Amino acid sequence: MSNVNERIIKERNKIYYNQTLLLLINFRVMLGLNNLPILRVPPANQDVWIALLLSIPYILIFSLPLLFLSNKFNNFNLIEIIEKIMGRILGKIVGIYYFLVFLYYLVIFSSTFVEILDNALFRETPTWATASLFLITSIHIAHKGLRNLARLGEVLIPLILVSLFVFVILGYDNYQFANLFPILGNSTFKDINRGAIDISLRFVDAIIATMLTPYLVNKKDLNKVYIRSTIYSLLTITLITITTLTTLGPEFAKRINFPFLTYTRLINFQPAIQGFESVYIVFWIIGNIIRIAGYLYISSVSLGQITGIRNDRFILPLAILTLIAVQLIKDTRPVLGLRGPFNQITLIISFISILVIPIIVIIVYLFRRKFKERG
Amino acid sequence: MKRKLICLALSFVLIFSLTACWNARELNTVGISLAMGLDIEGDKILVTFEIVNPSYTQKNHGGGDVGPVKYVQGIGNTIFEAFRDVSLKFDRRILISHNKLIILGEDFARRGLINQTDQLFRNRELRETAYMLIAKGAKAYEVMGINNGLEDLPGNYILNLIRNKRDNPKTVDVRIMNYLRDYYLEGIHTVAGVVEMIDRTQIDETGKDMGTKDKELTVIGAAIFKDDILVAYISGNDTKALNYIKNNVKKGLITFPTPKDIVRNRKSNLEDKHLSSVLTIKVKTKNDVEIKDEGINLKSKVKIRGTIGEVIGDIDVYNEEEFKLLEEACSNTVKEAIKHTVEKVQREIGLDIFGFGLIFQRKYPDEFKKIKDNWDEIFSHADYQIEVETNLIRTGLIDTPINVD
Repeated sequence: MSNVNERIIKERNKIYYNQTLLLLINFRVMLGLNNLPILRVPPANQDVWIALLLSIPYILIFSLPLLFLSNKFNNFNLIEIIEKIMGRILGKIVGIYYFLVFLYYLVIFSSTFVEILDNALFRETPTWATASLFLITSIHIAHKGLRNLARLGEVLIPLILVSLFVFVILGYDNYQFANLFPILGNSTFKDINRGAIDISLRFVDAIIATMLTPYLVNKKDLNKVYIRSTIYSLLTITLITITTLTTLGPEFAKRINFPFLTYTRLINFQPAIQGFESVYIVFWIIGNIIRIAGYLYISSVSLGQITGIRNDRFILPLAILTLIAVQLIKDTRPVLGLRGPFNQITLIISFISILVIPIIVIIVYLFRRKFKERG
Repeated sequence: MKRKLICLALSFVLIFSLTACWNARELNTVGISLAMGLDIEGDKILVTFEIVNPSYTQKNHGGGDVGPVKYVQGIGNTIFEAFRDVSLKFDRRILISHNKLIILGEDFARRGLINQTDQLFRNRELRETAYMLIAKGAKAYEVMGINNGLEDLPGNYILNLIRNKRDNPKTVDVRIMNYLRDYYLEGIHTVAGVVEMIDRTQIDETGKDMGTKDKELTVIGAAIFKDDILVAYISGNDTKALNYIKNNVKKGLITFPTPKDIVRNRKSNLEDKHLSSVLTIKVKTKNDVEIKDEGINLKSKVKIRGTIGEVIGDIDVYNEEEFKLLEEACSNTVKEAIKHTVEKVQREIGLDIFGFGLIFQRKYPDEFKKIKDNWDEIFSHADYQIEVETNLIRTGLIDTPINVD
């Protein structure tokens, strides 16, 4: 891809502070809603919300290497930065790794979403039909480019967030705050820290933030947008977790695949006003589609970067690849309903992608700069 | 132009292919269940559904003489198998998403719930808000179908009886979700509502006893579980005390002896039993547990806000001093009743159904870890103290009783 083309694409896809903030919040909140089995991470009891709050500093600390690189080279995305520092060949290899990471997340998020739809709506619909429905939508959104995705998010994400807060208020009758006690009575500081680290490694959106940096209108906003999105999204997830814990109790909540869905099913006003979960599912679907479209777009950008071909040419093939992978995974085993390999693999991949590689890249960068200064 | 035509053609195709969900179920292909009964028959599980009969609504339009509901049963080794067995006997697929009531036969409840009821929570169709009742001394299917109210559907009749708890706390309204949430807690034993068949004297139009008995249902009392096994029942008054301690009372009636020392016997005989009533507006209970040298002290502090329902006797509630005596008499009665229930449960059942163990766990988490296996034993021998404070904030439309000069 020529530099001119690249510049045009970046120029055409400029996004604003608010749009980036909302996109990152949505990515994280959806992860929280889809994986509220976060309740299963240590200490896996009524104190899990403390682990969630404690994960905020951990997320920020773990993101430091990526943020450092993005701040230093704010006109480039992560793959371009790595290529610049590590050299062409090694840069391409690491670039391929990151592309595979994005693809992996795309497939896992899509599989989780199929599981959500299977459980919440389309129990008998085959996987390929469910996956096709949202992948076609995502292809359309991703084809329209980042700017349109951000505009869509700007309109819909506030609605999603408001709806979550409304649900939290509507279920007030079912709260039993006693479920949150004793605070720190059954868990140690070590358990809570382990949980906070585990949770922080599940939020991989630091990589997405570094991919979005070159598209930011004001690049100085990067740190602000990242820190704020982390705090806002984690506070939202903590609120959701607390409502779930107080309503379902910690022991039952951690047995449920989608605790917030169960929570919304319990909202009712006598004698017949119920079924609030239908409204929740609508917003849940919208949020997940925005997230999947975002990952599809970023995957295509990273592949475009590696191959030098325009990214929109890869959107359809990547979606087809995702469809095949989802079909193979989902027709073999559940993704969320099984304490299986995906959880472990995701944590290892996150650890390598967020911490190991960026730290190596920074070390190389600092060495090179030192040699350059001496030379 | 070409692109627009393609879009138009695609939209046209989509309109016809996206008319409904995959495997959509139409109303005329399902049987809507309102109540479900679970029983043990031999070694198998017998499930009974109360299905709304759509023909009934057409009764006035030539639908014939049909009842509002039909009962269908299925039997199997598990609940799921029993559900599917129904499909071999009933033409429509049972839709349980409108099921508001699950009645468990006493045999079923005595065998333990958790191992048998996994399907109810795994199946997304059943709402977690369905109420759970134990058919006291009976099979679930025996109580289903009895309807002595004005509701057309027997399921709704029972449902309304449960909902009447808001006016009479001599029963408990436990949803399956609440049952499961409490089941996992340490330091409390679960309770569930009860439904019981009782005889009703039949009277004719003139009010004369016809000499025959009819059946009616009552939801008075509560069923007590140890782990998930039904072990005992408590009476309506004990259930009322339980609701007071667990802060589950909204409205209710407290009837108590009118203070004797101020009954001036102006128009009534002193030998008469003078009872007054208070209608509660708000009840707030705070429970506490304390470790003492000699053991554990359980404490409750109840605050009642109410309105005078009726005053029988020569007490003048217009007089502040006598008004306070009335409040005190109300407090004493509640105090005695709750204390009696707690001591009875300690002595006869020996299970902490009030949740004092939860408070102990929250207050002394380290100590609770050491004694949690023996908590019921400790609870049974603990001292219980209760304070009750009544504030009567309304006197009704009259203040001075009508029999006071």
